[in-house]
Amino acid sequence: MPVPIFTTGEVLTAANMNQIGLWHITTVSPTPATTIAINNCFSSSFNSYRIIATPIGVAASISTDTSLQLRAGGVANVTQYYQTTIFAEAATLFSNSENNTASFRFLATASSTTVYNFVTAEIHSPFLATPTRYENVHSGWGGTNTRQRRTTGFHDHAISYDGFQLTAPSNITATISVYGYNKG
Amino acid sequence: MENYTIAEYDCLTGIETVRELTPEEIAALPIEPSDDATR
Repeated sequence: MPVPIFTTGEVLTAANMNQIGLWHITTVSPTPATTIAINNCFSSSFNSYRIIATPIGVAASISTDTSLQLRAGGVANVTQYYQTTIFAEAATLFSNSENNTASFRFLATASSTTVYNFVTAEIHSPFLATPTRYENVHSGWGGTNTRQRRTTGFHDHAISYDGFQLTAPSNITATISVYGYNKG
Repeated sequence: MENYTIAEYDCLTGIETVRELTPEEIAALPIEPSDDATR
């Protein structure tokens, strides 16, 4: 299908609108807290979602990550997160695989310079009662060099989730946008 | 150590609520080791 070019004043039909690929669900800058939860962002309207968090940072430089957990009815699921991570900073490159952990990795520690950080995450089928699939790309400032991290994995429960939460031991400050992909 | 708080935003209502976590919720928090600690 060719790229649509809309003109000023044109009436957009249902057919036009139903071709829109990415639908904005929310953008929010919550009160800084150690856990930030976004409820009722997943629904039957979409199967795949994009989460963009930028700027994002934590209040103190601490030796723990900011994590992501899926929520159902306001309750976070705390088991069966499987993931592999690749991390790069300057000449350092390492990888790490984790099975049956309590959460997905979201934001790396020492990324306290909020305005340098971004996280883009893709979450597939969280609302369906099938395992949820996860991809995360994070870039930020490690204090001396830029750093990037990529995590992919799945959550091995056949549970329908309607939201997610981010958690760190120090207050998280973030602007978070959630989009849904048109499933056709 | 800061107080453990949760800010919950509901996409359906647009309402945010903020409260302190209960001891049970704090005990269940995920604490993932950092990249610096594991590489």
